[in-house]
Amino acid sequence: MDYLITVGILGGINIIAAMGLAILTGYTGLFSLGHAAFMAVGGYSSALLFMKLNVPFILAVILGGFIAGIVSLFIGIPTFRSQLTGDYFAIATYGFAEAIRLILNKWAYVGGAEGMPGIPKLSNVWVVLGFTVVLAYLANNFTHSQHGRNCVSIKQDEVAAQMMGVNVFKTKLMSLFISAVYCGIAGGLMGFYFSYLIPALFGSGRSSDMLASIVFGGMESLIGPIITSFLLFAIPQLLYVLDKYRLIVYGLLFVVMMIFRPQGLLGYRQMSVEDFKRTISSFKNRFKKQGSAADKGEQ
Amino acid sequence: MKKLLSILLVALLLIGTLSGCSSKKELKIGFNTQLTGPDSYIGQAAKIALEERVEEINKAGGIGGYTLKLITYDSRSEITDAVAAAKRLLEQDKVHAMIGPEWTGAAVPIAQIANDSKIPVIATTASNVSVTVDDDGNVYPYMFRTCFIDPYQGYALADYAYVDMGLRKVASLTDISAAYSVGIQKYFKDHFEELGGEVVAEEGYQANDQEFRAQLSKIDQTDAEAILVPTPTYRDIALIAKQGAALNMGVIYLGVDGWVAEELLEMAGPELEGSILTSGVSSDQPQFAEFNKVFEEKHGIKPNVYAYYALDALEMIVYGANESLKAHNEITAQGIRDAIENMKDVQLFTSKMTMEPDTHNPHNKPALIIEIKDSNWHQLKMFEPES
Amino acid sequence: MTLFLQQLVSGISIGSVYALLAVGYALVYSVFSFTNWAFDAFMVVGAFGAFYAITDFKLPIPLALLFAILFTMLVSVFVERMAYRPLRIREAPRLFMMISAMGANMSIINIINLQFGGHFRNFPQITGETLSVGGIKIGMMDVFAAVFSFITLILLWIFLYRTKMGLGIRASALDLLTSGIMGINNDMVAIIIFGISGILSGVAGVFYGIKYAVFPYLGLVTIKAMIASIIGGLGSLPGAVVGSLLLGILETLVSGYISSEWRDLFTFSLLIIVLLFMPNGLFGKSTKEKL
Repeated sequence: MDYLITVGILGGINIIAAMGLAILTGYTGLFSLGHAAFMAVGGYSSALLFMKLNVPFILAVILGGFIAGIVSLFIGIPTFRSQLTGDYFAIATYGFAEAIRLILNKWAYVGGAEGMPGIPKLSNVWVVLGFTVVLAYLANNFTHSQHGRNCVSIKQDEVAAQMMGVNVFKTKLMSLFISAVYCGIAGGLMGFYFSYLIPALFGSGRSSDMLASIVFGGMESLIGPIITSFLLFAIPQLLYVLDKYRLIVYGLLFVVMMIFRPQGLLGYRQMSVEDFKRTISSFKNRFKKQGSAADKGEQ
Repeated sequence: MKKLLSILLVALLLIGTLSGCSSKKELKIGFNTQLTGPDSYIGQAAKIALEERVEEINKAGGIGGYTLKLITYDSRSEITDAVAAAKRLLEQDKVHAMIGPEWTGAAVPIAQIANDSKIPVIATTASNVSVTVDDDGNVYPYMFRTCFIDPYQGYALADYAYVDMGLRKVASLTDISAAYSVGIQKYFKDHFEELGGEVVAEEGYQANDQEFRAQLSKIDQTDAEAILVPTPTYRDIALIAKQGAALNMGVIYLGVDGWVAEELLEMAGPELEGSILTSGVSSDQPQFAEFNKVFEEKHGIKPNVYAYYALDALEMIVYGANESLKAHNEITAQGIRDAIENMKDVQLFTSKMTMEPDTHNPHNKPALIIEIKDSNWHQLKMFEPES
Repeated sequence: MTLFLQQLVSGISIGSVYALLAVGYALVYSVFSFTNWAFDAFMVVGAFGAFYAITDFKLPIPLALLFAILFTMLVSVFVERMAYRPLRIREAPRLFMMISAMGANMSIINIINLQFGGHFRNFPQITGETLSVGGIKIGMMDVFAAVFSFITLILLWIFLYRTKMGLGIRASALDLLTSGIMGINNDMVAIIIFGISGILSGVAGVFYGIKYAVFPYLGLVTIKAMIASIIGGLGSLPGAVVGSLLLGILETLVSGYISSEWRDLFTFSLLIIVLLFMPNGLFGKSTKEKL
């Protein structure tokens, strides 16, 4: 039972972060390798708010998320202004994340590389569950809103989206901001769960794990990444059965998924039944459409 | 095809959840280690050594009717994975005691988990002070370690460098992303400057860096007589020494127990000639010669310090289990913990150990001062703690 | 002054390894417009291939290097065939290729790690000599690596600009679709491109192994090469070389004169600044002129 609660808490934290990344990568088509940094910013700032400024726990976590969101603008504004996409954006976010980690490592006030212990353990399963449900509800609303549709249009064809009157810069920035807020909140909850923060917690391994949940969950889907980010937290546990072959299998799965099942492990895309039906009806045309439209959008 | 594939994948997930439910009289020991990732050398030999020892004990009849069972999980050197593995071992597999993790970053959050689940955890080479005691100096009741702590190591090294070697000016090259490295550098500097020495240059690098010539050239311009390189793994110092030699620096290095691995001597033995390090154990100690030989012949890899420490931890658990049997007629996690906390002069794999009940650090664990000479470890001095 | 020159020399030697890798990235990018995220693994394959060719098969060093390079080439082509081609033919989004390549990368590295172990291996020393010119120390191996890298790049240039096959590749770089229609076999181009980039990463891996050590994670350096190729302009071969040398030199100078602790912050800030003011990098003037 205890272990199930642990899985619930860590799984919930993973879900929150994955939802953020789903909005950025799954919906807007921007590939980030550095979202662990936003978790770090959220984690450290919410812990500092709580411990130094006595901000109440829940509020501190939320504010931590927004601080992460604001920090994301530092990378978002320059990269989106110069219209970076694809590999450029991925590398830029990677660099940004490394830079943040370096700063945290050198910042003695938050313990530097030795980390910041002594954060009270306040994240329990109810808090995490509450955050997960509320954030899932908000994310679902966002993806079904005008803004969410704009994001998808940018992913499919940026030029066409612009012609249709979508403010590409603003929409991308919003998408990044939201994803950073989600990751920041996830980071905050994590700090209050581990009761310890250390920069090494937010290495590039974490960013690629988050990416994996989007890959396995499917693009343009919230429920997919929600389920897979939970499972992925469970898979490493389950893959312990495979012991040392774990990472090999994990890597092969990436390749196999992309080749045979790019729509995600679970194969359905949206949260509501209606969308699910529509997905089935458009299933046949899927490959043709996806290929030509999405590829050009990324040039 | 696609459907089949997804069914298979889902099936794979489900199988995992169903495994692991048996309840004979077993003494379950968890091992939380690094088997993949850049630091896989840390766990690979240790895992073999532990498995072998467990099998040996079981063949001899186990402990009072209990069969030992070792459950090993890989943390791939990531803190979250180490924490998840600890959770699984302590809360799901319900082990009686856990060995590992090997580094401070993971050990600190795990101390908390050990407390919650009331199962003893024996960290092996996690040497930061905060692993076993919290900020206010209160000991984590279920967290132990087998190595000595950073301040002591930094102190011993500074003392030896200043007093015995007569060094006055030292430069440092620190892994700024490792708590271990930063900690030792700090304690070294404190004591070295207290004695009257000077740290003339403080350079840094980050984990997994492979290029150090820029830092070394800079240090070369100063009048440093030695370079303190408190690296968490032998990899960094091997590269540093080789690159230093390529720059003809002709300087000696001061090191720490993170260096200790046979691979270091193969990699950079000649380059490190004359360098000094501190360590709790050394594989050149005669009592390990036989073990090393047999182990290498059997498994094709050399055992290392991490294997020794893991074996020490295992012996501590075995001792605890025996004591628990004596006291309660059964092996319980609590029984093991109580016995380990109060252990005195118990013979373990490497040496005798006494546990300090108020810090859970090994009491008066001597620091060996080791010189690298002719590409081999040579024990120069046993540095005994004053207190 | 000595320090400055010493740092410059180190920087160039670091940059020359970056250059081989960066050119590999640029080459693949110029034709297929995606970054080969499995490059890391190829480098490791090269280093291990050479190491075991010497220690286990007892091949003489030149033969061993050749073996390693050819072996890396095969692995590279194999990965292209397994992880890229199905996606490329389907015209899948670039994101998918990135992920697929990352998966291949993860698998290969961990297979090597499992098979051979994660420890460091010393490459049999070819030459450990150090030249000393006016107080500046230059490793012979560095000189050799730099020269060899340079020769490799020249050969590549000759291949691309003086052979018919090279013309075909340049045509593909200009427009993959049209060149396909004009009768160039795109699958063949892919094999050649990946073969060449496999050779480049194999060479880089071997030198890296010699210079530092042979171990499964030596490929982490590729991220720096990727940054170098972005600074130079993704897809531009001369850009990749210049970007690499620039990055190598600046890194050592920052370490030497500003702070070694803040070096990476500097590197990544440089990347962001370059991207901000020159989104196409130093040499990526227009997307049409890629080779």
